[in-house]
Amino acid sequence: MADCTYRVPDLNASGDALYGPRICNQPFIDWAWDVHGFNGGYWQDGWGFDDVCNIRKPLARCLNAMWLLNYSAEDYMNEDWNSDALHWGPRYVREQFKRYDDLRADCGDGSATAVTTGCQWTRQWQAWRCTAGYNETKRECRSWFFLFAWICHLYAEVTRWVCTAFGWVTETFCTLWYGTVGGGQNVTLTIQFFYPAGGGDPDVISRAGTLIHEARHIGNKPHDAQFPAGSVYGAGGDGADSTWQYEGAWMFNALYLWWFYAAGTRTSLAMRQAAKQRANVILTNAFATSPGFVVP
Amino acid sequence: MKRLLRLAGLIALVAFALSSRRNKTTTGEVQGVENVPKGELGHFIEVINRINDESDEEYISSLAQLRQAKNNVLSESRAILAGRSTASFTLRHSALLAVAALRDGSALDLLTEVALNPQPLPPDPPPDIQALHAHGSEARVQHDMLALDALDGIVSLVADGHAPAFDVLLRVATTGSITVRTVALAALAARPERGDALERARAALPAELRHIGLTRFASVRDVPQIRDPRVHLAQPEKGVPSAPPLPGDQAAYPRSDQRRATDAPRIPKEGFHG
Repeated sequence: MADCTYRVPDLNASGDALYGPRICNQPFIDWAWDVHGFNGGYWQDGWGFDDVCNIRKPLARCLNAMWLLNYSAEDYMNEDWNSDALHWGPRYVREQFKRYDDLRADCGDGSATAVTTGCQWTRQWQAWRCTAGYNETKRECRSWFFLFAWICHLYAEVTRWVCTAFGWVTETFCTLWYGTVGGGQNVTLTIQFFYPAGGGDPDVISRAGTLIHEARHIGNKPHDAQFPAGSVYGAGGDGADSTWQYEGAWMFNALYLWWFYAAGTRTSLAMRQAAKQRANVILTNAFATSPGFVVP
Repeated sequence: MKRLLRLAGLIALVAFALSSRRNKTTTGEVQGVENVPKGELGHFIEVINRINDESDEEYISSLAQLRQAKNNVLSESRAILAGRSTASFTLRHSALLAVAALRDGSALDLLTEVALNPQPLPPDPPPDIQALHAHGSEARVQHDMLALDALDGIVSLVADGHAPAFDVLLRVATTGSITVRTVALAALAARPERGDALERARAALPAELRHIGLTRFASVRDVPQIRDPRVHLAQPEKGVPSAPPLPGDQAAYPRSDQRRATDAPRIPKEGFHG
């Protein structure tokens, strides 16, 4: 008896039939397996390890998303960081996933398509939050009367020091925890990543978007705001990004989808339209402050 | 005594860590029934899920066939979009793209219904069919995506000069979900000759949604990008190898840094299947 089960919707409409024959290529499988840090132990027992070219099974459906990520730019060998998200997106995902201990598959508890376990929350302080807070305070100091401005500047220095120390302590503790008894820092794709039932990803492009989204979380950017009024993600609930300029997981997700819609190749008309609509849902629902633009 | 307490604390910590570790799980397929359309609609859906270019001859010919069979296409699409159908989100999405591609006034009723109503269309699906639909926020995301598909169809009709479609666009801009409403307002804003309609739609917005009236269509090249994604890496770049060249590109991209992952799954002898 399996721990969780799934139903497979039409393989044409989900895009799996389009990408499936492409992933069934041993050099691609070898490469994808290595660079994304798959842990084979978690992909046995129905998850597709022994049937890697079967697009009804989870592993092939994950590889489909990785193929889409890596080959959707016309000049896919150009992954320049100064290019656009369609070009650097796959490179970013690989770098982030490789940073973690392994990529797993799991039934999950039904609450998320993917779970990133690790120290990304504690790393944020040293990575950017302390500096961002410091710069903001410094900006505010400029509006102070010059005789008292030094108090403000001193406050900025002290808070940065405290913030950095807090970050160092929490990160050290967290790293020790996950490096010893905590079970490592991992990305776990749940059954909802592979199949739509129960609120999961319905097609190959939404799975690719999830990979980008999770990669951004590994890059030390948790969500920092509440969903706006009327949001389909649950108005007032946690999980939104404050603004487009915050450059969080929702921004990375929407930007990739948008570029894929605008310039994606080796895909289908239906898949690009799905990317556009999903980008618009994110743009209008996942930012506390509306970015002010949508995809035409 | 202190040592004992420390030891007990350590044991408790390790026990907690071990218990919170994820065990490996097993999974398996349950057969589901999904009726995939046949005929012109089925063919068009198959084509738009394989082809990426509207100037492709196969696309053009399947579109011509679709338009010739518009009555059948509309009734089949309505059946796919109805709550009692077993159609998945992706099939519904493809069916709506087909309805929008008709670019015919006869499609307006169905497009309006989808743009203004939560999906699936009534009657509600019975519980045994529910499993093929999504739940939670993703279900609402998908409903909005389908409504946006329908809205695209309406906007195309407006562009073709279909007057009733413009009235529907205005209705959607004043009564739809936040997603649909925002995009409909942006579509209205893109038609400066109907500035009066935009103002009416903006005036209908409740105070907490006033900001969406300022939303505009934009090109992806014109919105703020990530200046240097390397800044957002968790650690300095490791130089993880790029994907291997596609089978036809090996001569153009000779690569020598591809390692063979010895623990990667092997392709079974039956090869690709699904």
